[in-house]
Amino acid sequence: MSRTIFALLSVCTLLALNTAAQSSATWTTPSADQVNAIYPEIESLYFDLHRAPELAMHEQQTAARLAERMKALGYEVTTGVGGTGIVAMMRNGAGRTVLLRTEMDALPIEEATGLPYASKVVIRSDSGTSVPVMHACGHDIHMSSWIGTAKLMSTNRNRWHGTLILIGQPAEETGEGAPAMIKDGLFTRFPKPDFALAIHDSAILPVGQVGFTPGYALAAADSVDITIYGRGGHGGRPQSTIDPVVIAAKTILALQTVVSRENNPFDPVVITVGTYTAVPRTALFPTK
Amino acid sequence: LTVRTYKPEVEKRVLASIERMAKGEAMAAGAPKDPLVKITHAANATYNDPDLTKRLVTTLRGVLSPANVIEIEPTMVFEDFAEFNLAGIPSADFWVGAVDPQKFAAAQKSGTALPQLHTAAWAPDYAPTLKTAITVESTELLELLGH
Repeated sequence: MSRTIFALLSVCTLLALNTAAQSSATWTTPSADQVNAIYPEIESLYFDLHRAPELAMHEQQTAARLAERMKALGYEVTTGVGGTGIVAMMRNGAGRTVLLRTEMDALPIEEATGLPYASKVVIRSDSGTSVPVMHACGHDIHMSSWIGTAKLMSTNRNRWHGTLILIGQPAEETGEGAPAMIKDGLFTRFPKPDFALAIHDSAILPVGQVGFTPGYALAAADSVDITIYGRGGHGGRPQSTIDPVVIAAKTILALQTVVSRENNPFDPVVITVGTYTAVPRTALFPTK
Repeated sequence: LTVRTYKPEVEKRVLASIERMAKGEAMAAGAPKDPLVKITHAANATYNDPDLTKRLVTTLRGVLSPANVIEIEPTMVFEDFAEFNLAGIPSADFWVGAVDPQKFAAAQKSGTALPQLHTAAWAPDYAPTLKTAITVESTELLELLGH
């Protein structure tokens, strides 16, 4: 499949050469040769990152590794933005400011791919339990390609002008990272971007395909914890109790009509009741 | 429980309905007090700026071919990239295919599910994925900064 892409790339380059001045054709895209030339070190970085995943807001080694590479490529690097976040900036004359983001965090999942470069990382959590860690969302792909792109933009800096801001963001999985970097001055300590870009690896598209969704593309999420109070009592004397388990069950069923009857069917909504616990869990009627 | 929505006004109404229904059921049962409803906002909805998306799609189609740059449905997973567009910066997030084409074709044929993101079995076909991702990012940046 990659061969197909690069064959297409060269066809497009030829078309561009035919229709535009030679100099402007080179503005469009890096050549397949340029991508292939940097690929071995990007692959090696990918394996290194995949073997050493870190959880949200604990991406110290990951951030240090990326920051070092960015400095070597000639970027002005600021670390510790919004936790472990890094900002790598290249000022290259007058023009637009464009931001490209990668996430840096991994997930508390035990890898089961059996691959030679699989993660074997297990950390001890704050509460003392063992937690396996894996790049199961592809943030290692994003970081590696982000470094590859940084290298191409640095070596081809005569082909563009403006300011490039490449950010390594912590804690995407918890939703904390982007707000933390913005709160820590991403748009005030650094030039505010005219555009912001990101990519995500897709588990539903084959390699070589790129997917886009104009407008709303990913959901807003809220977590709702409801505590229902009843009156506890003996299992043999239900008349003296108010059973919160039954109230909870009826509430769960009632919530189904929020989506099916109150909502415009053209506005997507998902409500998921994930857990349901009674306290205390005994033969007695619980109190909540 | 979790609630996933796109539009802020829908999110607000759904959360209010949940609280109202929980209170209603408790009242109907004669509960000693109202339920405690604690809402934690986890993420905003990610909105891809339509003009920026269209501009980048046109450029990417010229590089990767129109057949390889396709519109796909929104998803109800969340992503904090939402914050950039909400801060007034036109933003765009693109999906880069990462499934081995042979495995993809086999799954399409047999109807079996492929390993998804956030699972222990997720293993992107890394070499072509990385090359395409670099091409996509560089092409987008050159489109916006190269003129």
